[in-house]
Parts: sequence; structure tokens; C-alpha cells
Amino acid sequence: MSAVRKVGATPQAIQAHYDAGDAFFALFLDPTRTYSCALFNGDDDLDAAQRAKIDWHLDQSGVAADKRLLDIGCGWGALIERAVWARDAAHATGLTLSAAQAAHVASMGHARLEVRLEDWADHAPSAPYDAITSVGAFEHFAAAGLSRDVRVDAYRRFFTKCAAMLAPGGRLSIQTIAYPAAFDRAAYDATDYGAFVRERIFPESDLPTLPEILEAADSVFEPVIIRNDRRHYARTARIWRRRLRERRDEAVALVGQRRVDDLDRYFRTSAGAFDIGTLQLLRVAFQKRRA
Amino acid sequence: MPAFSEAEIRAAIRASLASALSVAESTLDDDRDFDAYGLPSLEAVELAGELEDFLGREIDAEAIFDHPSVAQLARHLASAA
Ligand SMILES: C[S@@+](CC[C@H](N)C(=O)[O-])C[C@H]1O[C@@H](n2cnc3c(N)ncnc32)[C@H](O)[C@@H]1O
Repeated sequence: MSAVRKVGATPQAIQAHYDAGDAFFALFLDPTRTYSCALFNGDDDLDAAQRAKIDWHLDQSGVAADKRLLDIGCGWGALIERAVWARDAAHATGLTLSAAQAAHVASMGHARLEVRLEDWADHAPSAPYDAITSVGAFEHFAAAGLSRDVRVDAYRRFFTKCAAMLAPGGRLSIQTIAYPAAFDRAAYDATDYGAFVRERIFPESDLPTLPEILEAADSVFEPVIIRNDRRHYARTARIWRRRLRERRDEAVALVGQRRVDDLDRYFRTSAGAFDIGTLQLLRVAFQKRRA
Repeated sequence: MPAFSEAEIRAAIRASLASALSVAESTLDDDRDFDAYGLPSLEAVELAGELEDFLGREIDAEAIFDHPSVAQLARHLASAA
């Protein structure tokens, strides 16, 4: 086990969340099974908004023909697939801790796509990357209950590792749910809902704040663009919830009533928390520092 | 989609609020600010979620802050139907 893994969520915790089965996630996610906040323009539907989100990260990380991309936490592979098909990237590697996701991406069988069942801390690329993306995975990089210093250390190790894997001038685009800087974690943990999320939705994970992210990145990356698109996540979560409700019987048959009820509550309350700003949705593009 | 009267919505808000605060409904004052009850923001959000399901339509949770009492929120939700 790597040193970093000890401060992030374990593979067992990740697997428990994402290996519920491809068929279950297909019930309420878009056809590419993108499981992170979309980016809506006007009255885009979910499919278009997920594509726009992926395009934003491909743009910000500078993916283009002949470039090598690493996607940390690739899910079912929509981003790396689009990098190769729509941007003609020379090579796109995806990392995931979920065996079901890795098997799905491997089955795409594209010569320039590679998926690895591997923690980013253990990844040893054969050549530097030009671009790195990480969408909806940062939420798992620090375990619950750590002090701020230990959490920032864990994030710093992530940024340092990314910088080491990037060619000079390389770019990194991340997306994560975050708390406001002044958020009272102890008070939140003491609420019913806090305990529910910790125990039933994202065991072993905690969320960063924007200052923690910037502080952790500072020695190796400079921020180029920072967006808080929390309203986009409220919209995304409400769409997922509506779809999950429409397919409730099938969902219950696949994963059981408790799991379906848990996700229903999570989507409902997190949508409201994004409405009022108790949760943020950060998209941050960085450039590797030269000095 | 069923339409609810302001009185019905008010009753639903009172029931949710009483359970969020673990108090009897009879102790609630419909004109008192949610803040004054010490309702944590996430519990206010869960309350908005319960109303969302009761009404069968989506509610922006900011409504809790823009219309911060049982009476104001009921009036708002009844008129925004
Ligand atoms: C919420 S999913 C998001 C997937 C995808 N980026 C998307 O937008 O649909 C989180 C992903 O991060 C992966 N992950 C979490 N921690 C990781 C780590 N330490 N190393 C590599 N992947 C990780 C999970 O296996 C999963 O694929």
C-alpha cells in the first residue's frame, strides 16, 4: 500500500461505490455514464451538458493532436474516448480503482486508449504527459477526519505527482466538489445528513476547500481559471434523481431498495446544498510552474 | 400534478419543521424566522427537499432564505405553483 493511499479512500471503499454494476448507473446517468457535474449552456439536456463539461476540461488541459493525456479517475472513459476521437490525441491513459470501469474502457479496444486499474500514486508513466485531467476524483484524495494540515499534505502529494508526470508547460484541469472556506466540518459531521454521507455514500472521503487546493498546488502549479459552477451540480443532481425515480423498480432489482433510497436522499439534499452554496463545484485549470 | 392550497402547504412545512427540530408542531410560530429556531442550513435544505417531494415539483433551496418563516414560505410556494 502506498503512503498516499493511506490518507485517501481505500480501493475497497471506491469499489463499493462504483462497482454497483454498469447496468445500475446506466439507469440514471447519460449514455456515456459520466458521473460528475455537467456544464450547461442555456437549456442543454444532460447529454449535451456532459459533453460540454468534457470539452471544457480538454480545452483547459490543452489536449490536441499528438498530445499525450492522463485522466486520473476516468470512470467509464468518456473523457479519454473523446480526447482520442474528437481531438485526435496521440495517447490517452485513464486510471481508475474500479474493476468494472476498467473492464468497460478496455472493451472499447482503441489502440490509443489505455486504462489501468491503478492508484495515481503508483502510476509510473513511460513518457511525460502533455495534459492531465481529473474530474470528480479529488473528492476521494483525503480520508474523513484528517486535520487541515494532513489533508493539504495529501493534496500536495497529488499536485507534486502530477507536476512530475507533466512535460514543461503542461496543464492540469481538475473538477471537484468543495466546501466553502469557512465551513464548520465538526458541526456538519454532527448532523444526521453529515453522518449519512460519511457512512452510506462516500465512506472514507472528505472534501477540500478552494484555499486548501490552491495552497497545496502552489509550489508546482499556478491557477489559470477558477470556476464555481455549483448551480450546474444542483441541476445535474436533480436530473439524475428524476431519472432514478423513473427507473426505480429496475434500480431496486439491481442494487436493493436501501441503496436506491440512499442515493435518492443524497441527490435531493446535495442539490439543495449546491443551491444555497453549502457545497461548491470547482473547476480549476492549472499550468505547471516554470519556477 | 396536484395543486395545493396555501393552508395545505403550510401544514406540510410545519410537519417537516417540527420533525427537523424534534419539537411538537404546537410549539411552532408561523411568523418566526427559521434562523431563530437555530435550524442548521443543511436541515433547512432537507426541509426544502421534503417540500419538493410533497409538492411534486423542484424547489430552489434558496427559497428558505428568501422566505424565511412558515407563513412566508407557504405563501411563496402557493403563489409560485
Ligand atoms: C465520481 S467518479 C468520476 C469518473 C469520471 N471522471 C466522470 O466524470 O464520470 C471517480 C473516479 O475516480 C476514481 N478514483 C478515486 N480515487 C482514485 C485514485 N486514488 N487513483 C485513481 N483513481 C481514483 C474512481 O475509481 C472513479 O473512476
